[in-house]
Amino acid sequence: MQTLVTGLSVGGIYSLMAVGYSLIFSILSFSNFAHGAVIMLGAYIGLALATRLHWGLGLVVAGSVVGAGIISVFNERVAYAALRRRRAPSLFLMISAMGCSVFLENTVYATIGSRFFAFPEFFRREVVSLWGSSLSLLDLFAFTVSVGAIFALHLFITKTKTGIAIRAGVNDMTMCSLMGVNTDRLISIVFFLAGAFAGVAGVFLGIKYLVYPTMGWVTNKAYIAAVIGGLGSLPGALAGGLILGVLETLVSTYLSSVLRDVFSFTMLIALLIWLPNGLMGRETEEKI
Amino acid sequence: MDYELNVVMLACVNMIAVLGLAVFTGFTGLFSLGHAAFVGIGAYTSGVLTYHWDVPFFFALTAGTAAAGLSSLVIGIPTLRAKLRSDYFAIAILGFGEALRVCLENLSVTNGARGLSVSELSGPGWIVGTLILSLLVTRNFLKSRFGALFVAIREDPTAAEMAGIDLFRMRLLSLAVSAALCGASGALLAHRLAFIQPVMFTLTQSTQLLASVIAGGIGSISGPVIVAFVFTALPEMLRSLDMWRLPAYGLLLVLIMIFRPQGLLGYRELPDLFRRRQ
Amino acid sequence: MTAPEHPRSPGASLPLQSEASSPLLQVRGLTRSFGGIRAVESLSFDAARGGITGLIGPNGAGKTTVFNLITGVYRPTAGTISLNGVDLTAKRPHEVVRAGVSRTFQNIRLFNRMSCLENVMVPLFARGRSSLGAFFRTPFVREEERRTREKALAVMEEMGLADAAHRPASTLPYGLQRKLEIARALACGLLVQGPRLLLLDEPAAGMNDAETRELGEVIVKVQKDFDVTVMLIEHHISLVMDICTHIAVMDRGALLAEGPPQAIRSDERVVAAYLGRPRGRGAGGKTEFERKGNDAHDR
Repeated sequence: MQTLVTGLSVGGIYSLMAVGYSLIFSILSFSNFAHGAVIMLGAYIGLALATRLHWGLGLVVAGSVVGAGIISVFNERVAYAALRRRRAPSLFLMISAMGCSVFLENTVYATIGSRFFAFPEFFRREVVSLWGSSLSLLDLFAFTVSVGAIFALHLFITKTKTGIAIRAGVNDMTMCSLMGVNTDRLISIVFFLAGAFAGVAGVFLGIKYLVYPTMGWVTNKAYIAAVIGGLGSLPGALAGGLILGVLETLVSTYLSSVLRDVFSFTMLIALLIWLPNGLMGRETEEKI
Repeated sequence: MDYELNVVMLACVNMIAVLGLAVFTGFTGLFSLGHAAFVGIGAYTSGVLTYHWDVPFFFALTAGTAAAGLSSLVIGIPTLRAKLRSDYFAIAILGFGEALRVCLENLSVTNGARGLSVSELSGPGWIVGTLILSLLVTRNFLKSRFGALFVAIREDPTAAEMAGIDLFRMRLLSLAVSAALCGASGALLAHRLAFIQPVMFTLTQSTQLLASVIAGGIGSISGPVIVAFVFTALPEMLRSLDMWRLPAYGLLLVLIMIFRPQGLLGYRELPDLFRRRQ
Repeated sequence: MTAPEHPRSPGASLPLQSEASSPLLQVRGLTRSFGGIRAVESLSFDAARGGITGLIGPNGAGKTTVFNLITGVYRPTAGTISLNGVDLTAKRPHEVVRAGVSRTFQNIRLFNRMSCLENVMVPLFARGRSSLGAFFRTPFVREEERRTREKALAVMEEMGLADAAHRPASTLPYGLQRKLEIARALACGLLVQGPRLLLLDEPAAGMNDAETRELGEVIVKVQKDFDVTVMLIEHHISLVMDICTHIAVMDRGALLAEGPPQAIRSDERVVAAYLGRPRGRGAGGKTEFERKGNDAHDR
C-alpha cells in the first residue's frame, strides 16, 4: 500500500510532464525533446522568485507557469516555426528540438553553473497518513494539483472554443488554416499550455528534489510515460504517468533502485512491441 | 608538437565513430541518441581484455569492434522488428545507453564508476591505419547494393518494402555496421587516453556524434567526417571556451535545421564538388 | 476515338483460362475493419492469368485498401488471399513482393534522391546475393552490379525511359514519374520464378486524355512483354473499358459486380452505384463514370 501511494505521487509529477509531450505531439506529430529543458527553466524561474523575491508558493507557481509558457512559445517560434512552415519532415523538428534541449541545458550549466539549489521550505516536513500509509504534505499537494490541472486542461480542450479549434488542428492542420483558423496562434497556445504545465512540474520537481541544469533528465521518464499512455492522448498521459510511477516504485522497493531506470526503458520497448500506439494513442497508420 | 599530435589523433578516433553513425542516420535515415553506448562497449571490451588478460591490441581492437556490432543486435532486434517510429526508436536506444552505463558502473570487471586505467597501446599508426581502413571499407559497402538499399529505405520506407526490401534485416545490418565502427573507435579511444569511465559514453557524447553527422550532411561520408575533425580539433584548441562547446553544438543543430538542413555536404561527397567545377 | 489494341480479344482469353485452370489471384471473404468501420467486407474475386483486371468503384469504396491487403501493408481482419495457390495472407510486404506481387502507389512514391536507374535497380538489389564481399568490392560484387544495371536498363528501355536513366527521379515530369514507378514495379518481378501480378493504383491519375491513352498502350504492352497479370484501380472509365479483360466493381467495401467490360457497362447496379448514391462520397468518381461510361456506350 505504501508503495502504491508513493508510486502514485511520483506518477502524478510524471503525468504533469507527460502532458506537455502529448499536447505538442498531438498537434505537430513530433516528440518535443526540448520539453525537458523548459521544465528545468521553469524550475529556475520558480527558484529565483522564491529565493530572491521571497514570493509564496502560489505566486511562485503562477510566475513559473507564465515564464515557462513564454519560453515554450518562444522556443517554438525560433526553432520550429520555420521548419513546420516549409513542411519539413518530423525528423528535422526532432533534431531541432534535441538541439534546443542541448543548448538550453548547457547554457544554464555554463552561466549559472552546475550547483544544486534548494527551494525554501514551503511545506513543513510533516506526513499525513492515508489508508495506513504515510505521505508527505508536498506529495499530496503535488498529486492533487497534477490531477486537477490535467482535468482542467481536459475540460479546456473539450469544452471551450479554442480547445475545439485545437482538436480540429489535431485532425487536419491544413484544413484548419483553410477554414480561417489562425494556425500560428493555435500552435502558440498549445506551446504555451505545454510550457505552463512544464512550469508547474518544474517547481514541484525542484521542491521535491533540487534544482540543477540536468534535472530535465527526469523528463525522459515523463516522455516514456507519454509514450506508454499513447502520445497525443491526454488521458493517456495521465494513465501512463501513474502506471510508470507505481511500477518504478515497485521495482525500486522490491528489486533494486539501480535497476529502476533500466526497467523503465525495457518496459517502454516491451510495451511498444505489443502496442505500437501506446495504451490510448490514435492509430497512426500511414495513408498509402 | 605532442599536443597537436594528440588532438589530431583524438579527432581521427572521433571520425571513425561519426563515420559509423553516418551509415545509420545519414544513409538509412534512422535517428540515434545512443551511439556513444557502442563506443563505450568497444572501449570497455578492449580495455578489459588488455587490462586483465594482456591481450595483444590487435585482438582487443577486433573484439571491441565485434562486441559493439553484436550488442547492437540486442537493442536492434526488438526495436527494429517492431518498426518503431523514429522518435520511439531514438528514446529506446537512449535507454539502451542508460542501461549500459548502469551495468558498467556496477560491474567489478570494469572497476565501476571510478573508471579503468588501461595501457596506452594505440599509437598514431594504429589510429590512422584503422581510420583509412574504415573509410575504404565503408565507402565500398555504401557503394554496393547495400548502400542503395539503405538509401531507398531512407527515402521512403514503405516504397522500399514494396520493392522487396526486408526493412528489418537491412536496418539491423546498418545498425550493426555502424555500431561496429563505433566500437572500433571506442577501442582506439580507450588505448589512446589510457583511461575510461562510464560517464564518457552518455547522451552528451551521442549528441556530439549526431551533431557531426547532421552538420556534415545526410547521405554523405566525407561531410560528417570533415565536420567530426573540425568539431574535435577546434574546441581542443580553444580550451578556454570549453564550457560553451555543448551550447554551441545545440545551437548549431537548430540553425542547420532552419537554414541548411542538408548540412555541409548533404547527399554529396567531397570529390563531387571538384567534378562539378569541370 | 482510337482504341488501343487489345492484348487479346475477350474470346481469345478463354482458351488461356482453361489452359491454366485456376485463376492467378484468388481473394476469398476478405474483410478489414479500422476501428469498427468495415473498409472491406467479405470481398471475393479472382484475377485471371495474363489478363488485365480493372478494379473500379466510387471513391471510398475500399479499392486501395484491397491493394494494401494484398501487398501485406495491412493484415486482413478475416479472409484469405492466394497467388497461384500460395497463401499470401500472413506474409509481410517484402515476402509478398518475393512471391510475385508488385505495385505502384496512388501518390507517386519514388526514391527521389536516387537516379531513375537506381530506382529500378533497387528491387533487383533487394534480391541480390552478395554479402560480405560488399565491404571489399570483390569481383563478384562488381559483376553482380553490372548485371543488375543491365537488367534495369533493359526494363527502362522497354518503358521508354532510357534517356532519363541518370537523372534524379524527382526531376522527372509527372507522367514519366508514373512510368518510372511502373518500371520499378516490373523490376520487382524480374527475379521471381513463376507468375507475377502487377498492381497499379490509379496509374492515370492527373493525366489528360492523350496521356491516359498513351499510358493504356504502355500497360497493354508491358502486360504482354513482361508476361505479367495486371490489376488496376482507375477512375478513367474509358481506360478501364478499353484495356481491361475483366472488371470488378466495388462499392462500400463489398463487391458489387464482376464480369467482362460489356457486361459491367450495362449492369444496372453499377450504374446505380455511380449515379444513384444519395450523398456521394464519390462525387469525382460519379461524374467520371457518367461522362466516360456513357461515352463508352455511344461508341
